Amino acid sequence: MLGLYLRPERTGMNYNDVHAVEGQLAELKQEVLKYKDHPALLLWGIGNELDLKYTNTRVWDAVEELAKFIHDVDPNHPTSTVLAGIDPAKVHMVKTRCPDIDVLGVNAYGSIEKLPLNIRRFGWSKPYIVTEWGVNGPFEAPTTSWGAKKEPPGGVKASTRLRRYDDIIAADSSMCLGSYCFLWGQKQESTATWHGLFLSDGSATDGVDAMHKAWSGEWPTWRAPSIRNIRMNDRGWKIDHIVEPDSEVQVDVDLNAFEGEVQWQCTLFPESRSKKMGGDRQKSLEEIPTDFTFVNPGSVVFKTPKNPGAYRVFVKACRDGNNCSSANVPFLVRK
Amino acid sequence: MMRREILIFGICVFCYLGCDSMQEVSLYEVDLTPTPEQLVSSYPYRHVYLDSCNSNLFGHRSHPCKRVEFVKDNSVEGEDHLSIAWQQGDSCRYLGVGFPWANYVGKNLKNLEQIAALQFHVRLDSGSVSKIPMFFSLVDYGGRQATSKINLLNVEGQRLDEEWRTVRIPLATFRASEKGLNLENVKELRIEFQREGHVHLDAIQIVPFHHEGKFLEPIGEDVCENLPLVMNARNLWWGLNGSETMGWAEGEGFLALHYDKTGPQRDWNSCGVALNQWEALDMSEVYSASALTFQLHGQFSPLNFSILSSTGAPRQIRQRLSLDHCIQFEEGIWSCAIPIKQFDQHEQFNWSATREVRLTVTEDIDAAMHELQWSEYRGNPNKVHRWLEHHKQ
Repeated sequence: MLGLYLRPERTGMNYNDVHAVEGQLAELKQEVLKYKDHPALLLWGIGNELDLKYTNTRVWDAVEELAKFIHDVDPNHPTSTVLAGIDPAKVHMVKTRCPDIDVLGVNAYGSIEKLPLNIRRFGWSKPYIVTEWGVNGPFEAPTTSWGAKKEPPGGVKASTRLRRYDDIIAADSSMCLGSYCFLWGQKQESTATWHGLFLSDGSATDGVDAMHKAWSGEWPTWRAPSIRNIRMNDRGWKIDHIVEPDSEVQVDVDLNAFEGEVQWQCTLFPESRSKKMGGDRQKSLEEIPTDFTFVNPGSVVFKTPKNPGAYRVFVKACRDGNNCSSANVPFLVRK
Repeated sequence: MMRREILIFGICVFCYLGCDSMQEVSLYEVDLTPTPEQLVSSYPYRHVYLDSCNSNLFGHRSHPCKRVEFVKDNSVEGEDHLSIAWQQGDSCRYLGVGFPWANYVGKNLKNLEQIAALQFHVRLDSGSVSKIPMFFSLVDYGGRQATSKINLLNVEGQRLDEEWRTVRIPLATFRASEKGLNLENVKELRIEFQREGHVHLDAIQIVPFHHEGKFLEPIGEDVCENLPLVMNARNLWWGLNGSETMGWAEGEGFLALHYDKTGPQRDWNSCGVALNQWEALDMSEVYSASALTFQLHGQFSPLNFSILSSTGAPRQIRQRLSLDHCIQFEEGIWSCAIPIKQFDQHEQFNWSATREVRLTVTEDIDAAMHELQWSEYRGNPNKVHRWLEHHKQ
């Protein structure tokens, strides 16, 4: 899919501003002419999440103008536009205002559970693609009392991915043309490990193994370790952890090690304060140098920072240095 | 004597012509108001960048992410032009150059905002693109800034390639007042570069320019002033699946509900209707004295009603239908009203962007919903039966 970047309203674009809209369309029409015969082109993606926090439905007129232009100049590739989840209003808008859209793209995280049903209930009758999917996003996650998002351990996320692919995406072959799992790479979104199937050092996670199983039906021969659970001071990752400054805490993980020796690594970071949304770029955080002592494989002890504040400790279990699983626990240091 | 008569005759002819045939011309009615072109062309600080000898520039020191050079060959004006190559990376999030033109004088561009543009010449080092990731900001002495960018419609030939192209960015597109920029005291122009690129820039100046700046009327600002709103337009409903669980009875004008919570269609249990073609509808003036009203023919069931807005939080407010909302005036015919004030969090809801009424079935039902409408309700929200009896037709 070749994405044609239409500026979302939330970045300051005003779809009532005729000059700005026409200028943007003029640019994108040149892109279409430039790439329409490229052998790698499968379909056009006109705008990504234009509906996120939008109020001006004229954006759909811009999408339609470009889709119609594409149909006029390029009869070989279908058009799509990508929604940030669906609701009846968005489907109605694309259906009625964008008749030249051939395929609906839907980015769905938690809402993927009911996506096939909702596609039909909301009245979409053409094909669709799940253009982003994975585990529930930070924006859907439960939070601590100080607002930190609770991220499931890597093994839990890998299982979720496999179930969602098998039971939802592959199961809806009558309307769903396919999917793009998110994210085949690494990015900072609340944490450095939330969506990425790879870690920042490039190592593959147990999520990659899950996708291997989803796509091929077989597990890879050499599987990454997989963290099923993480606890701080013997209390699980789903509850709030509030600790004293400069106090000793222990973090334990439950691991499916599979075969081979596992290497452990721990890191400490301040909690992200980013309020960005919709996958907009967030800054990576600076690691806080900390002494970690592994008392057992999967059990680590460290001293909490002296300064009160919100932090997050990460544990990484790797085999051969490049097949890993990670998990983290947010905690609050308070006197 | 003869000569005197001729002179008098001549004076008379002159006066006659002077009074009746010649136009009056006042020496003091010449319009001295400058045209927009004159105003811009006479602006003393119109030259932003000419060349390295005659212009102020900062941010031109090269580093691994950015290389700025003054190139003498193939310049548009002056002794040289700017060649700027950049590649954004983690070590250099911001890449830019600045032009505190006219030696840091505070420039007043207020009178030029609607009649002038920032003009420059640009060419790529190689290739062609439809847009360059360059952003132009005017910065005032208070540190506030407003940003605009190249619009392909204002690029000569609507192409960006290896030829010099004249580009104009209308000053109006910086939207100074919206961004809080003081156009009467502008300090500098900054150009920010994102991602990667290599351009040549020259002859940056302020020139006369007519910017049409057409804006369409906003949509989605309709106001509901009168009730009832009748919700019987079939094409504005979603979630109807014919006769299986919920469907609109053609020609009959009612919503048929056949729901079996253990049946194969048990997940298909919601439907909804748009209030204003799926655009926002401002119900602020009417919501507090209103109710959802309808008749239920057949079996009573505790239906869940939601009202949704397109913005704000909560996005959805809910109320569950109970027998407190309905009176059975005839066998199997229930008249119902759910006052809006009974919906949870109705005071926090954004009534200016109301969009949809939604219905969810959770219990078995075999009934028909008639005359669903958003009605005026001037009664005690906790005494619905009294209101229904009073309004019994």
